[in-house]
Amino acid sequence: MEDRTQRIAYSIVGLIALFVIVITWIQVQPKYTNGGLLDVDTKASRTEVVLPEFVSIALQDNKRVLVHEQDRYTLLLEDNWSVYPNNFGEGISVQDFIEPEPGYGGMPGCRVVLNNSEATIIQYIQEEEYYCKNNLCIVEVSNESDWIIVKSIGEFVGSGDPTYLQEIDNETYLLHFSCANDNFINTVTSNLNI
Amino acid sequence: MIFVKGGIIIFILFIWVSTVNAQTLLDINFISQVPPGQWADTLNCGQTSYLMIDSQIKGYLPTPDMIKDIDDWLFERYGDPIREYSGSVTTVYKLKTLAQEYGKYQSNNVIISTESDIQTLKKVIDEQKLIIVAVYTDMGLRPKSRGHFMIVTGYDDTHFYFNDPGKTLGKNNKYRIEDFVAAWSRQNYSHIIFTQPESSTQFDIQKNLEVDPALIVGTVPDSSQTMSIFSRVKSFFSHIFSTHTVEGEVLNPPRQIAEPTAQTSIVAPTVIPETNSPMFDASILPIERIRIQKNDREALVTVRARNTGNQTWVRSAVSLNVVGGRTLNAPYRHSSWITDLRPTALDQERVAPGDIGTFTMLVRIPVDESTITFRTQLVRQDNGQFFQIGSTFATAMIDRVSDIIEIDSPGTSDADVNVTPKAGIIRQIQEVITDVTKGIQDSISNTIDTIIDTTKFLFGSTSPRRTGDSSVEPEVPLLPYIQVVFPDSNPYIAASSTFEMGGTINNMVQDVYVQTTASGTLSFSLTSLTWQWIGTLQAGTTTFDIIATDGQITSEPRSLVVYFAPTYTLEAPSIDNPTSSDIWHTNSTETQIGGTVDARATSIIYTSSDTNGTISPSSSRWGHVVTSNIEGSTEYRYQGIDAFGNSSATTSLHIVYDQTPPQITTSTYDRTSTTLSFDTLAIDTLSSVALYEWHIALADTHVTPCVASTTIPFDDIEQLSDPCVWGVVTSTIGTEFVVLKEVFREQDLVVRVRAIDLAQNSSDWLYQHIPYVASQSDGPQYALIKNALITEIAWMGTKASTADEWIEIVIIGEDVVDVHNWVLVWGNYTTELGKYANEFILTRHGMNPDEPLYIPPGYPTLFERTDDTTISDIDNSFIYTGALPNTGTYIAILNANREIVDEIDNTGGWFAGNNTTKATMMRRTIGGDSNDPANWCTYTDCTPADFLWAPQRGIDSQGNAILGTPGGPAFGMPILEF
Repeated sequence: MEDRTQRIAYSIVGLIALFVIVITWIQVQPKYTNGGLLDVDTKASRTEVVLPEFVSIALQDNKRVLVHEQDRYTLLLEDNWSVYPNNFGEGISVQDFIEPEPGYGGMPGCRVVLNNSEATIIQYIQEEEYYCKNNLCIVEVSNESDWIIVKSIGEFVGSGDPTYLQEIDNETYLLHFSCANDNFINTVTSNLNI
Repeated sequence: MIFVKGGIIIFILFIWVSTVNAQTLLDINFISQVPPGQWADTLNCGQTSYLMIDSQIKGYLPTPDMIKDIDDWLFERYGDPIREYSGSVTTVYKLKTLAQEYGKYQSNNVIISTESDIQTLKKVIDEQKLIIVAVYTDMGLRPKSRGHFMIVTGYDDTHFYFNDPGKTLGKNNKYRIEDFVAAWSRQNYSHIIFTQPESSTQFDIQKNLEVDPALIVGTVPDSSQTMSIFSRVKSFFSHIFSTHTVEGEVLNPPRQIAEPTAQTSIVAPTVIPETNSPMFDASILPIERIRIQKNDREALVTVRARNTGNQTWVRSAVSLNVVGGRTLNAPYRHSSWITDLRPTALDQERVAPGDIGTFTMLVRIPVDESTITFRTQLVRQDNGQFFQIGSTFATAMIDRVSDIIEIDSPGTSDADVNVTPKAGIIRQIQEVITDVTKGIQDSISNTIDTIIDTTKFLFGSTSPRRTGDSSVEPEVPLLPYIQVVFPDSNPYIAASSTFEMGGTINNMVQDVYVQTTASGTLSFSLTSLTWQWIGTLQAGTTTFDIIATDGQITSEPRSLVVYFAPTYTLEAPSIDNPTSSDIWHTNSTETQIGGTVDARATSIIYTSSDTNGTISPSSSRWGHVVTSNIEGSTEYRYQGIDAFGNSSATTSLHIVYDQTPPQITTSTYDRTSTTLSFDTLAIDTLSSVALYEWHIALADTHVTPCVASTTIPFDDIEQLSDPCVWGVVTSTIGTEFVVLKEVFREQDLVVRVRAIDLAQNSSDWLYQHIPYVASQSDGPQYALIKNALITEIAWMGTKASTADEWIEIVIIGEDVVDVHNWVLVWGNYTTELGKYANEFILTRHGMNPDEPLYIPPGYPTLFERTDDTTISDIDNSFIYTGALPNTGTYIAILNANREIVDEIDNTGGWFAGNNTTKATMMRRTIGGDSNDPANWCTYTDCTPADFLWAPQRGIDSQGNAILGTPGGPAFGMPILEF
């Protein structure tokens, strides 16, 4: 009887020790490892991120680079940027925050959705004007460097968030920014190589 | 042609689907998440969604300040940045915590769910439970969509309806089910179901509808509106045979109208019937890009717009208005404009529905601007107010030709050589943009117009999106516009004098005024488009006129009436007439009652057992007359009331109405040769006897009372020049004692007596004959007692002379005392000699020392040193010799048997008295130990509370007032002079 009790006690102690070892091992693991040129940026993301097959993350001078083979552009990623597929359409989302767990409201940082379309800038402007017809806003168009900048300004969330457009070889590159942070915008346009 | 047919089919299908499939639509409070904060930065969707639901459940109207409060709470609870009240990101878990800890909901009333079944969600809505869903802005239909919270307000077969805090026009927006599910699924179907706490009032959707049906019948944007035209056209062809996804809704979205039903309180969306109600609408046609020469300073701009309403435009009422306000458009303001804000009116006198009207204007072009975007909108003037026609703006792009030419010119110039390929593309875009825009817009516009025209032809309707009574349509004011958001009622009853109000303004406003008599501070922000006034209310009604202006035109004033009732307790009314006492006896049927009242009181309410009413005070005084008809006591109660309902305590007065006089039951007399005492008793039922009054006269002349008798105080009678005179003696008690003056001694007397009660009722006179008692000369009839007190000692003399010392004694008890051979002694007693250092035998001056010397009780007797001038106004005192030492001494009075009657041992110093002021040493009471220093006081320190105190009297030999009461004891007896 006494031996049996001892065995049970040893078993419990052993299980606890094993549990502590496992937890410790998990905690000492690096939070992010760059596994290679095609490693998908899942940095601290709590959900699995699956990028399109023609999108990759490369390392260049110890910096991550988003490579979009199909749309023929690269984007040098800042350390705090994360890459996700666009939730609702084509394009890649690059943002300076980790996508929160589902069940949230708001935008905890800046995001840009990079897209390439056959639609023209004019068509895009028309779409924005149509949106504004139903949402009491006005469309502002300006240009900066090689970019056409379109903003819809009105009484809705995201008012004034710019979209940068540039037509190259019958294709239109679109940068949909979900914030008006000049620093983020400038960094994106500077780091983007079309 | 395909578009035309497609549009018609879409319209028909839409109406059919909407009519058949209408299900459920709840009317839930709506507020957008801005203000507070800015639309460009706002993250308040979760906070605002929670607020809408909480306000619905708890029955209040949400305000921007409440969103701020939630941001503050989240900062304190989680440290979430407030970001100038643009808020922070929230999650369903935070919102649940918010509900539980901030909103005090029970955990089981706030359920987080990820149940994804649409039917279950519909069932929850049917149960009138309120749901916050985690989705994306614009339901994810735009690339810039972001995580977002909305409130589900209803559904039909093809759409869900939402209160979207992310838009000013966010109430009851509808999105296609598949769009909603797509966005919802990306948020893992997260939602929060609020159930009503049992303790709260059932939220009453029906009630809300009664209050403001427009909440439901307002614009209902469609998710398909967020899609591009191309997407919708594409979608139309791919779903043309589907009954669940009907394209063309964007062109024919059904107006949803509330149809309250008593049974369910659930509003079923129905199609609004077509009406011929006046409706203004416009479709602005694209404006060709305008090019001006390099040196041009103005540009001619023509705006074309189709009248898509059912009302004819007239030039006097329809014009163009700039977008952006006065400041923004100041650089473009041309001298030809009507006003700073209105460049031009309609070119035509009239433009019928369906026709195109034009607006031609000159726009000033600043020198330093090469490309100008100039926006205007159509407005109509109606009864002093301006309303937008249609919902779009006319955008004119104006370029200087010189810039365009450089871009457009063939690539032969040096400038072109340096143009990069991308810059060339930009140029081409800019060049092409006009033609493409025009082509596409014309195509779209023609398609839409064709659909509209066909629709009109088929159904006789007007623009489907703008159907209905224009008075119900939310118009967009273009003039300065101001709105009061809080307080939420008008008139408003404020709880405290500190008052805060505020609201919103539109972007046409440059300045805000608040006209009121209250003092306060107004602030407004042209950035957040809000205004606020904080100040102090006056008591009562305060009117606010809130006006916004753009510097030239003022808005319609918003009048707000605020009522503030301060709370306090008034001072109780006082009564000083007829008495300040709480009871008044009267024999009069009418009594004037009055007094003072709190100056704030506007009326006094009085009540009694037989009457009541109100009295209006004047100058803080009040008064009225009460009438008494029946003997007895009546209590009258008075309470002050002010204009705000504040009241005072009650003041009472008992009026005793008494017309019955007292009745004398017994009356007896005691007469000596020199005195006469009275003992009379009267009774009164309602009022006690206030006064007994005895009249004394000589009997020989008053065998019968004098017919025209006069009365004088008995003590004032020295001689009787008029024998028909009554000497009057009064007392509040039934006994009295008088010393007969010489004229009354040895005479028969007649005395009459009466009693007077408190109500001034007098009894009948009772006459009695008092005969002279001749046997008095046979000797004293009184028992001798040895009872006297030394009551006052002027050991310090007077101001006239320190040698003018005097002593006062008083006979106490009930009987006359023979003080013959009494001895006043002071100083040391020498046993061998059997005597004191100073002894003075009381002997009546000038009389036989063996004769009795009677002193009545209560009468003071003075001993003056050396002569009778020590106290110059009192004669015939006992005169003694010998000084009283200022250091104190033993002093006593002995009777004829040399028994000590009263003694005071002051050998350690006089108990009282002041040698500087010459205030005397005075005894306080009759009782008590004579040798107790506490029984003595210096006259100037004595008070009326001391029994033997009396007002100062007596004058010294030089005319100075004596600081004492020589011969003035409490009994009020005259000084017995010897």
